[in-house]
Amino acid sequence: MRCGDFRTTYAEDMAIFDSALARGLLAALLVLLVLLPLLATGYWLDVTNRIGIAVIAATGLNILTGFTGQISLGNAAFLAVGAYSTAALTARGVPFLIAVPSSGLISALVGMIFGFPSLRLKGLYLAIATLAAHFIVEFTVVHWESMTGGVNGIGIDPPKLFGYAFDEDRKLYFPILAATVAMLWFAKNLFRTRVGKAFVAIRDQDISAEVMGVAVFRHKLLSFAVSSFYVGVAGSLLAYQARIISPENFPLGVAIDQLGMIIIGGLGSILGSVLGAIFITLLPEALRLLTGALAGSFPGLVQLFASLKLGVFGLAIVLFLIFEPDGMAARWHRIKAYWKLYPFSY
Amino acid sequence: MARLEIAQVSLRFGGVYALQDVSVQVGAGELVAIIGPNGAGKTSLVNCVSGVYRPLVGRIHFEGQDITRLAPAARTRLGLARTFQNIALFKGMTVLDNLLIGRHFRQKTGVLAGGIYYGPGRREEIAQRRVVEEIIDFLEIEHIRKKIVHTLPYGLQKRVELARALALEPKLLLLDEPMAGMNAEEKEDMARFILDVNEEKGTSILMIEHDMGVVMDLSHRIYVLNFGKKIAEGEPALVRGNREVQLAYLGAEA
Repeated sequence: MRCGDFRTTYAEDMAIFDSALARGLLAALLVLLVLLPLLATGYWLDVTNRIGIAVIAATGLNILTGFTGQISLGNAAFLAVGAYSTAALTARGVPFLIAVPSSGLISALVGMIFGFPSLRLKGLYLAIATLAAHFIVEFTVVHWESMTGGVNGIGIDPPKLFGYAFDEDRKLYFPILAATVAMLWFAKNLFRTRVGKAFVAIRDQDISAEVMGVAVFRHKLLSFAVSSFYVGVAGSLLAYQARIISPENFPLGVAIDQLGMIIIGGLGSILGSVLGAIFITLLPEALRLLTGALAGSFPGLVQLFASLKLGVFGLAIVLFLIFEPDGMAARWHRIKAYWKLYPFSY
Repeated sequence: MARLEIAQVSLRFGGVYALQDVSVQVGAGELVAIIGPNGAGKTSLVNCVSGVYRPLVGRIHFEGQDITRLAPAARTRLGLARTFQNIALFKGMTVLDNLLIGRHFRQKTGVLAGGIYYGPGRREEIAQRRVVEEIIDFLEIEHIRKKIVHTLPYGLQKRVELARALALEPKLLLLDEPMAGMNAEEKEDMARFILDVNEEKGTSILMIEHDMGVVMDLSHRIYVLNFGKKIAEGEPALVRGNREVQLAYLGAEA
């Protein structure tokens, strides 16, 4: 299908979407996404908004875990930091466009602090250290009532831009879409330039990265910061979408879900974060539709829904680890490679 | 003034001396080999130079500057580069990206400029790409530049590791067994590349190698280590005829 695409400059060779066809498809996808609110009902826009937020958070986690090789279980905590920063900032009258990035920056700072153990710890030990982040943040949120509202939670005003209030999912869809696209683009660029490549080098061989002149610890901290910035922005958008946040929005299960997203989607792949986030967010929706459709013939199924959800989540991860350990992104690249040469597959 | 001067270095692991009072000099543009039986302390010596180990006593000077206590990254900045005995490439990255890591410390792009890409980020990336492409051309690895390193055969991986070290534009190159595990053809290629680097770029080379044919043919001078001590040094012909060297390699006559 696609052949003879010769490049004559390095800039062309380094492009992400390197052919007219790919660029055209991307443009079509973007147009479709912009038009989606015209087609979808309110409920499904809630789902797409949650997908957008999950994509940002999963990309953040993938930057740290998939690209830099630092396993983190602190994602729910960084999400909470972003969300509560937004709550605190909007309560003090900070506008939407400033509150979102500021929440990201606050989360980045907290992430860097919890990244310090990575100087000495690797692998599972680091995972346990980041688990501490989760419990410390949870404890702080519950007990710092004047700021966070404690276990009762705290309300957030809907975002306003130039006097226009984004007070329902149909309207909030657009800022979330814009943020998601912008942050994906940023991440993709990051990994074709110096800092991103240093992250990957640290993942693959930290000793030779050091010998090659990469400041390993500095870049690990930087990775924690960038990753937590992404998760913090996701948390901020989540606060705007949920309107009321309490510690119950950020259980450890959220961090596990996000690990599931990047494992199923593909570690060390931006596309993987997107596919994984979509898959994991849609999984319970698909199950809900399925149990709904089967409710007539198997009435007991609806009661089983909650446990069914967890079971299918676990099953999906196990199946992916067995049959596609490199994730959905790898499968996608294989499909693409197949069609590239079709019908002459050798 | 010698480019690299290792003066009376000793290194001890517990009660075992890995190196004892070893002195080695490498001049500008010189190709020097270190040989010796297994466990003689060759790799330990290279590790002292590259900063992985700190010697117990003795000093190491690079272009007149004392580097004995410098961190590995700081030595790289001064113009030292090395390859590893067991390939230590970034296995999940392409050949190109592996080489670009060699340009890391000469670049400035940070998170913001990199993430925004268009503008300074891209300009710098293209400038470095140009440098790296010259090295790719020099070592004849054009055909694999976009291949992920761990999919490559062993011999090519060794060549990519040499390329990555060259991307640092070093003044002194430390090669730890560049030909281990290669077949005759790959060895010949590698020998040609090492000579080319030495002659065309004027890079000083300190090489550990077990293949005596290669060592005798390529090196200007040879140092022989045995049980952490230097037992001989000099030109290849001289070392070959040395009685102690023969004893170390072949054992005493029965």
